[in-house]
Amino acid sequence: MHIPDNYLSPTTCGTLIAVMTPIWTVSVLKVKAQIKEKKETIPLLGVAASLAFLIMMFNLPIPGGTTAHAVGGTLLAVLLGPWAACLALSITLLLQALLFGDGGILAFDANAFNMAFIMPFVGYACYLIGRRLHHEKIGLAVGAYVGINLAALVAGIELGLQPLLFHNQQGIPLYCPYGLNIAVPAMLTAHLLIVGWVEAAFTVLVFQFIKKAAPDSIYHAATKNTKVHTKAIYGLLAGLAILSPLGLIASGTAWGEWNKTELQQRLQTAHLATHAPSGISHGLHFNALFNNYTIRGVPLPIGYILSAVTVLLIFFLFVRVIHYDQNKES
Amino acid sequence: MIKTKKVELPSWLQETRVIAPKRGGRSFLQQNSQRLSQLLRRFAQEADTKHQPLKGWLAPQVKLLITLSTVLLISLNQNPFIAWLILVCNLSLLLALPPVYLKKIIRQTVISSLFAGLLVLPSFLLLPDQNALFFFGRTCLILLNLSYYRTTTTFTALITALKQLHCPNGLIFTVAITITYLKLLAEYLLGLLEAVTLRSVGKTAHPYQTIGQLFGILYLKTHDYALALYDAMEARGFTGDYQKEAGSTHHWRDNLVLLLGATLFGLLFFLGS
Amino acid sequence: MLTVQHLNYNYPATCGLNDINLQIKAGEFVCFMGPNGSGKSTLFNILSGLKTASSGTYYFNNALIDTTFLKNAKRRQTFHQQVGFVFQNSDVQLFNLTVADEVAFGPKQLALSAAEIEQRVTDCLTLTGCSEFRDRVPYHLSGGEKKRVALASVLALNPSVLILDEPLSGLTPIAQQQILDLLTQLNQAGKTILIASHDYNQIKQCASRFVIFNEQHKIVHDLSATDLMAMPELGQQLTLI
Repeated sequence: MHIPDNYLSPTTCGTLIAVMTPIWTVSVLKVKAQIKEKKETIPLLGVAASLAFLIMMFNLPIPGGTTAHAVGGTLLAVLLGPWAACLALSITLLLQALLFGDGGILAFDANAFNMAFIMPFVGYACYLIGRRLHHEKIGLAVGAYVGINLAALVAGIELGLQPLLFHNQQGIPLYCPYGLNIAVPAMLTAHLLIVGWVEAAFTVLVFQFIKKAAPDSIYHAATKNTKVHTKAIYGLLAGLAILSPLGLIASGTAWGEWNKTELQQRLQTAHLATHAPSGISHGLHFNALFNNYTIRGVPLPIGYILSAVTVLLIFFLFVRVIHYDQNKES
Repeated sequence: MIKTKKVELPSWLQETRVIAPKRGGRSFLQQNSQRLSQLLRRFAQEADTKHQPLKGWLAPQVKLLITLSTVLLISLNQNPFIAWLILVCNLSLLLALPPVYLKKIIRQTVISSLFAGLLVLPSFLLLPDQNALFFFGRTCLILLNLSYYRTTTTFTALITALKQLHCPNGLIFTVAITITYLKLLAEYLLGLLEAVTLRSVGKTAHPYQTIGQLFGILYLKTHDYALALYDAMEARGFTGDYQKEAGSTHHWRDNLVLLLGATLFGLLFFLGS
Repeated sequence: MLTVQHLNYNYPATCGLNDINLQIKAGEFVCFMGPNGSGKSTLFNILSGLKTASSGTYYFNNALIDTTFLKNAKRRQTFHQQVGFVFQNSDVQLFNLTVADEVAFGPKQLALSAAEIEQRVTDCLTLTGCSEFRDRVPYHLSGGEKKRVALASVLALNPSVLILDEPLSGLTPIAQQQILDLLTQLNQAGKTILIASHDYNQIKQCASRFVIFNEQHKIVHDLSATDLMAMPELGQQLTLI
């Protein structure tokens, strides 16, 4: 889910920094209040950031021989409190971008928005509701699943908006080449089908262990404010519930009724206009190869999805072959 | 000599019986152990005094700024000529590096570029045009720059850079803790994985059960480390405030490079847009 | 049973083992001694299959143990069943919710019946003196208790070779004696025992052979307990390590 550099325009990144700055500020203030009660929160932020790093690094096996990895946003939010989790995850993402090559430097704020803000807060909200209804674990599992999927959805929207907003005179996208119709379903299918479940299972199992082994080490919000909190949380969740199908519809036709005609126009220019300037690359070998493959008459989105599926299949075939070779060797 | 009560060994312990495992599996243990060892190797390399450290001819903060602005420039720029210029600069910088680093940077860049290529491939297959190629090229160029920065920057250099750029002390403090404890926690997790490997002698319940336990323990350790660290801080007179850092380590060279960079950036920015 | 020839191991920055040659027969009780960082732990890591040598060979029951051997899941699992290893840092060796679960982790994978597993768990806990805390969380135990639980959990697999890295450190004198008696009994039952220890006076009552490392990660002495008895000066030196 780490968005690399160059897929988002610098303008998008700038906007997201503007969004993240107040969130970070509030988090710092909230954590300062938390420190008054629990002094060890100061070093805990740093150590928890390294824990988050290891969680994101750990390959979890999934059926079929491939692996996925958890993000741990919801887990950390429940263990440390959402504000501290937001800060710890941000630091992890910063170090990953700067020193370990996961996610871009400019895209850091986008990644922080998705994984350090949306995921822990949504996950924590679901957990709180679950706890009020006396089904803590269910709340946690739902939180982890919904949290990571919403984060993926938002990442898909961030990517998918790029060709609409940033393209040259011929309508050719300058950054991420895939529109909402591709980016959103691509991000969501993987997360809805596999990664979400992995995250949920991981979160619940770790939480369960800690709850049994050392229940005192888990964060508990001050009981006074819970009522206000839960109200706000219900509101937030209701808002998200309304929003999320909107995002799903985006893969179809009705994303944002507000400027449908404009959007469609843009989509058309974005994709169809490319037929003309593609002549520029005449000298290229590839062109001759793929000219026959440009499926005329097939609606472009379907074509896109088809080729995406093809590439995915090729990729998995490779993985299988390599896997097989390795097994055979031993 | 202390006399202890003699106990009888149970019969199953007295016989030698090897039970053939029913089913293999658990490759995730090996895979993750390898990844962790790689991470730890990076820490070991930084601590290695025998190995000639790379001489930084730029102050860390300037290097960070230059890298950031280069990435920004590549990202903003739509002129192939400028991208080419940056590539030439990069290549000549690479030439000046010792081969060990060179190999690392090239390998990292090629691998990450291949993944980036895979992502763009569908769009290129459908509409093969120059622009998709240019997008891909720019992505590779950014990856090259980031890989260069990563490989030639030590953890301490990054912290110095953050200090010199007047980041809040709380942030620097936390980043320093994160890096230190990343090594400790990684070692701990690797130890746990080895322990699981040694006692993985056949078919188990779901691997996630074990993974849940491992990370549960890792969290408990995290919590303990934080408590111990806080006690140590308090013992050394930590009051909740962070101390101010000493003055800057700016060199005339750094100012020159910054000035040059700014001019170039401005110029290219106009050219590119 | 274990044969090691011209074994070298290099860490990224330093040397770990320097041209190690060793042959250990089934049923021996070997004690490894030497200064800190002289390579005992590294050798144990290789003998238990956690690391593979940079160069040289290691044969276990005539099978060459290298990366290709360890890649095969079935062979690796059979090997781990036969060679048990108690870490120096038993903190990382325990990862279950209760002590009983910890000991049952290995046997559960061997397709034994529930009664048989329970039998093994109870026996191992009794032998190591851990019965009174069988339902506690291993993470919260004291250092000495952890050591004993780690030994119990390894013993539950009934390994034919038992490797122990500093198993006596952190234990009370009574617990140390208990463990040594247990090891002697296991040795008499035919188990091969490799142990690293700093306590020469304590270990000399049970070990049948001594292998001594120097600071250059090399073996300088490899002699039987009776030979060592004949060299009081060396014995004197060993008490100081």
